[in-house]
Amino acid sequence: MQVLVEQGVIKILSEHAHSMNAALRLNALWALKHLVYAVPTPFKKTCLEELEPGWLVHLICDDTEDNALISARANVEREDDQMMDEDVDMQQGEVRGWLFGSVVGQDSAKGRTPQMEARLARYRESESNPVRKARNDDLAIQEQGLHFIRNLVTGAKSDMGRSLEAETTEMINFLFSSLGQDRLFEILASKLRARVLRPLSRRSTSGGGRDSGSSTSSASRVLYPQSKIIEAVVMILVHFSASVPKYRQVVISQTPLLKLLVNHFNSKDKEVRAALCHLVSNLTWTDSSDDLVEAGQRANELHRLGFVKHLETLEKEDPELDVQERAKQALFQVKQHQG
Amino acid sequence: MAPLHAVGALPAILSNISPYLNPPSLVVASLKALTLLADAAALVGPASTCDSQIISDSLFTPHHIESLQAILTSSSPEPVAQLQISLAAGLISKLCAYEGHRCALAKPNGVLDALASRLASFAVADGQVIPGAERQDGVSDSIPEPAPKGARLAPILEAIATIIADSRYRAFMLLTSPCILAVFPTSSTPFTPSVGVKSTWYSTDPHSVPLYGESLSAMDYLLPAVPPHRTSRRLRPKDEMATRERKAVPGTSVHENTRFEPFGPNLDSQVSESDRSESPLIPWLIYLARSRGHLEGLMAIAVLTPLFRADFATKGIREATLGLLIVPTLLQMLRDNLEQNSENDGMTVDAKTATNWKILERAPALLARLIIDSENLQQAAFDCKAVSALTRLLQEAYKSSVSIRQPMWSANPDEGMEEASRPASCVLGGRGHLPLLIHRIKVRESVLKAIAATSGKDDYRKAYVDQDVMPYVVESLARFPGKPLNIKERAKPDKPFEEPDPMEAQPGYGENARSVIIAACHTIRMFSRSVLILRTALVDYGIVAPIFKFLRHPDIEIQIVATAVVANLVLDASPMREVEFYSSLCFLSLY
Repeated sequence: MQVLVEQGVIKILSEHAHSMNAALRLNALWALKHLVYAVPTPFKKTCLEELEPGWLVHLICDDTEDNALISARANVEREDDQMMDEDVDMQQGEVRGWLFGSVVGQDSAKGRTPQMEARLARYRESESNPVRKARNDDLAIQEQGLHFIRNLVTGAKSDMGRSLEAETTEMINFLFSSLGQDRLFEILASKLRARVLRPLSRRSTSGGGRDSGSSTSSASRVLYPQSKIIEAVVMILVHFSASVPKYRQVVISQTPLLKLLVNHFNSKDKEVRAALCHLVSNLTWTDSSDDLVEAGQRANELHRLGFVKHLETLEKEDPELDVQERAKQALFQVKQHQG
Repeated sequence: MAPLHAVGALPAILSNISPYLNPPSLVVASLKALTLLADAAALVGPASTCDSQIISDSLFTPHHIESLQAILTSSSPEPVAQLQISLAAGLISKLCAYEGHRCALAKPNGVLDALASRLASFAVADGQVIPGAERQDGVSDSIPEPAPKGARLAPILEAIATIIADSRYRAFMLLTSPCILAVFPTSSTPFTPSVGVKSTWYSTDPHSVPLYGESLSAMDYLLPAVPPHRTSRRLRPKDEMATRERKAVPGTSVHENTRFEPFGPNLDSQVSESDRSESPLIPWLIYLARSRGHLEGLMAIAVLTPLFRADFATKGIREATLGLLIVPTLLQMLRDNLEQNSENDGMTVDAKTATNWKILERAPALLARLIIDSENLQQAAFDCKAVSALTRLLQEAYKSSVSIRQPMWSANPDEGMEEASRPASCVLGGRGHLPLLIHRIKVRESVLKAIAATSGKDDYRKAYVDQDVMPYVVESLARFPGKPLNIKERAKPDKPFEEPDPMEAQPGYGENARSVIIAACHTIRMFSRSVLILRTALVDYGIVAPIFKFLRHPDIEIQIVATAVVANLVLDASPMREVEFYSSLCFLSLY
């Protein structure tokens, strides 16, 4: 790694993270995420500055590919309108061509049942529809962006005898000051909400076109948060809570965010459920007796928000043994402080 | 090529391929001419596909596609008609490389359906129509005439495989093609063979009966019974979980992300079971792969692969079948052809060599596609000694080809000529490459893909490094490779990052296409998932410098793969990081 850094790999990767190409953006962010793991804090700061905090927020928040697709589509449509006349000509040309082969055409017109045709149409739609790809690209990049933050605040390498805690605290401070503390938590919350994409798309009213079926379905959609993204968000909070009491207090005071999290105890993804248990454990952790009173407050707050109720369900009913154990541990700590 | 383009030879030839307007012998001659043009275009070099593209763009227009379809629909037993069919199918295989062309050829009742009817005719000729197929309602007239004696199966299969490529849509189009449905109906009633056959078949293991259950079709009786020990995992999911988890413990398999997902999420979860029963075409293709000659067998696997990858095969059972029947066949094919790989002067290629080359070029990439998403199949390939076979093939592909054509002595050396003043029809196009070199470069790409696909686990990767595959992979990173040197022969450059790359080809090694470089990067990425290799072999062979340079490569595809490699390279690091790397709180996902 040393030699790569000397050669200026951070700068190149940061540039690539600004690329127009989604795959390159994704890979560069992935590499940066690995780069900031378990390295001294000054190095982490350099990476974040090189990537530009504002750009990181943009990568995490915006559906870049999806939006690009929409504007591209709008352009195509405009061209389509102009091309209408030529289109008609082309079709006639095709008809002329087919005259020779009319025998062939009729011969095999039978064969596929309507169900088969329907399945064919479905496969065709899923392969040719660029919306799905754009969506996947965006999600993958957002996930890596969140992982980048998570690796920033974790596993700091202590430099010159400073404590690990001091390093982590410094890094979280830096992160809050460069992204904005409230803004950061708002971003995390936004990733947990279901969203309606493009409620006012003009495409939904156009209709009648050859592919109107596919476009209306893609024009305004409700998107539920993906478990990978939820897990990434929760893990960032887990690391904030793992640092010092001060940040545990910051996390517990994010009531809107925590309210959103409660809903995800029912997630189908076991990693999400496990991460939530982990979060509760970390929030109720105490390093010293100074923290005891506040830990009690945090435990009560978690109870009030409904975390405890869900944990009890997980402990008894979760199909995954791992999740059960984590829930048990978390409950034990909460109960300890609730007194 | 250039002068032929300049005088407009292509449109002239194309105007003669319609079987409705031209006598058969003229059609044959035109198809042959097109084939030769396509072959010549391929020799211009893998780097520029421009000539091939010109030909394919003019061939795959609605009008000419229709001519091709008419040719392929003909069921005349005349040798001339059969020759036309083979040539037309061959042209499709050679030229169809773009998604748009594939879609155009796969239109309902189009070329793909015509090819499917040819394919079905071979089953009819061999008497392998599913019993009872002829009694189905309304389809009996879709059963094609049996294929005549002179018909060739390989071009048909190859053309079908080329058109389907990696599309679930087109794969389903083939499965629901009227002739395929007629000859290989998905029967609702299980097939019961005569008692003798059944008892012989099940004699290997009586327990296999419940395993197959309903999904067994008559076609399966053509295949050896697959012992159930591999599939038995499926029946006991708990055991499988246990072994999985144990295997997952070593630190590197944190999250081995394969983002390669050509089919998108599986849409079939909501489809009812009855809709999902497997077409008997699949066991028939497996049967073909094992019973026919090498080339036909290979092409049968080429058609089978996309069907399997698109989940049209019964999942658990077929995976075992493929592991036991197809993967070994494919690798044996590779070894046999590697031995036959006779000395060739590199200039002329006879039919036998051409077949041999084609198998060596296609088989590894096909293996890669078949096994890439399946741990069990990767294990099967490893058990079949894929490592040594693929390593040997890659070494073969880096043998220096000695015959280099010296420019002929000429009384009027070229320099004095004023090229610009002559009409375009009198200027020769770019010089082609030696067929042998083109072949070797294709083999390099293909083998590297297979090596990457078979490097899913630490053990497999280590086996490759132990076989000394590294020098060859490293040379594949260079646009102009030289002789692969092992670690002792390799000179350590003082400043690897500032050293300029060689700017012209070294005699006998050719120019690696970008696809070779990309495949080599993928292989390095797979290798770099092993910490051990990351710290030893990859450092010893100094791969950091070339990969780093690729970050600034003008080709964005190369930038993308190089960035993926860097994501793993930056993890090597200090001992401190190693501890973190193995600890349970590890937030790295290996890429």
